[in-house]
Amino acid sequence: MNFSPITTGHYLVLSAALLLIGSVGLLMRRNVIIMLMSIELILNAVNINLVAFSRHWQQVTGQVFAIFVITVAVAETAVGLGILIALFRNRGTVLSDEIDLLKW
Amino acid sequence: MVNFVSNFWWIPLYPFFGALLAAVLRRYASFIAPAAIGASFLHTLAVVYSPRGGPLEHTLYQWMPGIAFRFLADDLTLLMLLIVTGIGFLIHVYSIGYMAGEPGLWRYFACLNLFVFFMLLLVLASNLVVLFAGWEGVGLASYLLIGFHHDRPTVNRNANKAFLYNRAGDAGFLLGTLILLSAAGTTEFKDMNQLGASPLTFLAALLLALGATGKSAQLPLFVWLPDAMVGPTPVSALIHAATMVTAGIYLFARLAPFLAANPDAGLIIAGIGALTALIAATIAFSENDIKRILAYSTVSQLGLMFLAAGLGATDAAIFHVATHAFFKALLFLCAGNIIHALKGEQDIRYMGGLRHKMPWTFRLMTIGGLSLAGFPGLAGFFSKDAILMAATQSPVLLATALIVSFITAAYTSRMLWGIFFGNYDRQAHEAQATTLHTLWPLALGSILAGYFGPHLEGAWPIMLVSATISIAGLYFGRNVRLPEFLQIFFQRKWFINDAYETVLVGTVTKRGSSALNWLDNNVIDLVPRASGWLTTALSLISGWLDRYIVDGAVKATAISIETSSFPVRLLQTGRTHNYALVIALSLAATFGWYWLQ
Amino acid sequence: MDAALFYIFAAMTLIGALLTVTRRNPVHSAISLILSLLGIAGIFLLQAAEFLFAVQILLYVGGVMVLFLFVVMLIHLEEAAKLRNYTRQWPVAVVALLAVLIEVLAFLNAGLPGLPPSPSPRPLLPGNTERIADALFNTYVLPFEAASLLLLVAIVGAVWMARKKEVAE
Repeated sequence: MNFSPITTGHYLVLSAALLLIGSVGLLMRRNVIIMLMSIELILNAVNINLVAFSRHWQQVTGQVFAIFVITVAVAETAVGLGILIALFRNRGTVLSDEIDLLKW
Repeated sequence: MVNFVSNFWWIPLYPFFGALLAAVLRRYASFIAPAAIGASFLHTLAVVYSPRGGPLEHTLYQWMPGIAFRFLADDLTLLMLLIVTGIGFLIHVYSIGYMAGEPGLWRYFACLNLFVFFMLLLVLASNLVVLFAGWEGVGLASYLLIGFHHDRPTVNRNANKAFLYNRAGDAGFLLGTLILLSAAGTTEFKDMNQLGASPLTFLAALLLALGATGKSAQLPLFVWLPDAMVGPTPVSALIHAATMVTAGIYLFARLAPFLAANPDAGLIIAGIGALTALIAATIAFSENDIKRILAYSTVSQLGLMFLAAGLGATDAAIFHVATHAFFKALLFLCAGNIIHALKGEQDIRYMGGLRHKMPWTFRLMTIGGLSLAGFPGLAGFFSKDAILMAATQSPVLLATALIVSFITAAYTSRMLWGIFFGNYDRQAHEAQATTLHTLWPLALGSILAGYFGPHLEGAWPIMLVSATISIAGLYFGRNVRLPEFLQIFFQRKWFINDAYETVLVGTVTKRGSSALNWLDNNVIDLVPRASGWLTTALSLISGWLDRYIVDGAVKATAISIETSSFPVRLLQTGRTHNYALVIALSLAATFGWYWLQ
Repeated sequence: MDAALFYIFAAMTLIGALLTVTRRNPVHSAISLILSLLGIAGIFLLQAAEFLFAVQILLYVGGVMVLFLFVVMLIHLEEAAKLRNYTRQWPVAVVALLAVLIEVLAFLNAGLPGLPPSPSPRPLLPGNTERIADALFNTYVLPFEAASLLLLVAIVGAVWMARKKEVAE
């Protein structure tokens, strides 16, 4: 196969695309669980970016940073799901349209 | 040794300090006051009998251009000083006995001393201003002394009356002084007397004469003097017979050259004097109260002095001032003794036969009365003749003066007969000690003073005529009864006082009180009422400001914030995905902005 | 060979992502997310980040996604699945995201040619894990400790949030 060689730019494009898809999910879906999953997608896009550049500069810093991102993402997911459960218990819904107590 | 001559201006100071001292050391007032006057008298004697080269002058203080506190002592002044201090001293001593036991005696002596102080200031004045100071001062002292028995019914009113009529005259005096000040540049007498005749000086002379009529109780301002008799008798003797009332004549004497330069003014003065003399004499004939008889007699005699002064014979006028001081003071003090002896009786119809019970008083009073009537040989005879001599310039005035002399003798004899003869039975005791013995010098003066006066050339015809008239009057006075209507007319004082009362006093008090009422409501109360109205108006405005502007500002702020925050509020949907959208939009915008750079 | 693998893994990632955001059934979304994460793991491997590849599989797929599935099962979502799927703001979102996409691509287009080349051709370096460990425990020990603290807080928080309320006596 004679595809063009995969440059760092390809990875960046991939990362951008993943970011966008994740944003779409975040902005356009009503279900809070789906929104949380979209956030995961965004975080992973960031990871791809970090690792790509880590590879480009021949340094390990990017990967270390990516580890921290994963750590934070895990913590955030745990807490977020806890909130979700509490929310479901109190409101009876997981649709973000209907969770608007802080509305004006 | 103190130089009495150059310190002649101390003479008024003795009674001034005497007054202060008497007010402070009240128990000794009856000693301090006479002592002070005595000191003045002695000082005056020292000055009189010392050699001096011409008139004495002393300037205390130059106040304004043309006006200074300046004293002058020439022969006229010294004569007046002798009269005032001499007779004043005698009357002070008389008062010790007469006023003994009166409440508030220290006030009496203090005011009496004060009076003498002002009178001395008046005669020592070198210019019209200082004279005016003394002029006003004696008016004040007169008011204070007339009002001494302030708890008696009409006393306060009469004191006010005296003061106010005086003041009316003072207005004329002041205007005259100001005119002369503007005409001559100064108020010094020697400069006044340089002024020639002009409409301005004529007017000034008349105005000064108006002041003199107030002080010396002539037409039109004489009505206060009879009412002033409610004061203590020594006061009547000193102030209203011998001294204050002569201030007007003294003024004329001082300004003699000035008056001579304005003979028309002089004629008017003389006419006023003559008319007053006539009216007063007739009234005196109809009076029954001793003191009022003597009061109208004083007015009448002053009229004669005015007559002389107006005609330019100021020597004669001053001569009569001197003799009149002696016999009128004597008459008043004897009357005082009688009143005292009769426990306050003053009506001669309730007196009679006193010559046995009060022999000395009888003799002394007769001397005084005869002198007043112009009995030949006594002092009054000579001074009255001097006046008659001057009056020969005008037949009318001469005739008036002769009639006045006749009536004078008549009322005098009526009075004396009524008091001392007849059979009215009353208890009376003779005067004693000071109230008696002070009268001797006065009696002596009433007899002998005439021989020290100016010599009268070619006066024999006049003397004869006047002597005849005097004796005739004395004879007729005993018995003559007037027709009814004349009696009433004279008794009602020619209705002059009544006219004054209705026209002036009534109008002023009635209109005055309503005017004062209006004044009080609209002018004096104006300020509180205006401030009240102002406060109400201001508070209304303030309230409006507070409601619409201050609260309005607050409300406007609140409303504006509410309104402007409304769209912003809508951003708070409470939905997370909306917020995420905002983030995405902001991101797009930021990238876009950077892209466009 | 690299290129092919890249494209395969990229496709996995993107397709999985697309499916995640479009499925009605959250369970389907979760499964699709797993697919996407696996694709990403592959990308990591291609970049010679073996440690991260392992961590991704273990943590993300094995931990997070299991957690997600647990929650989905816990919450009964059948009625919600029948309702409208997308938020009402989706047109605006689409516009915004398109704008962002265009801009990002423009940036990349402008920036990439200027990217300095990597220092040396791309070898596969040995000892990736050791190197990461070395960096983590020497240079980045502070963030490491902070991260552990963060995890502690997250654990406590999650437990607290999800607890059952005490019944008032």
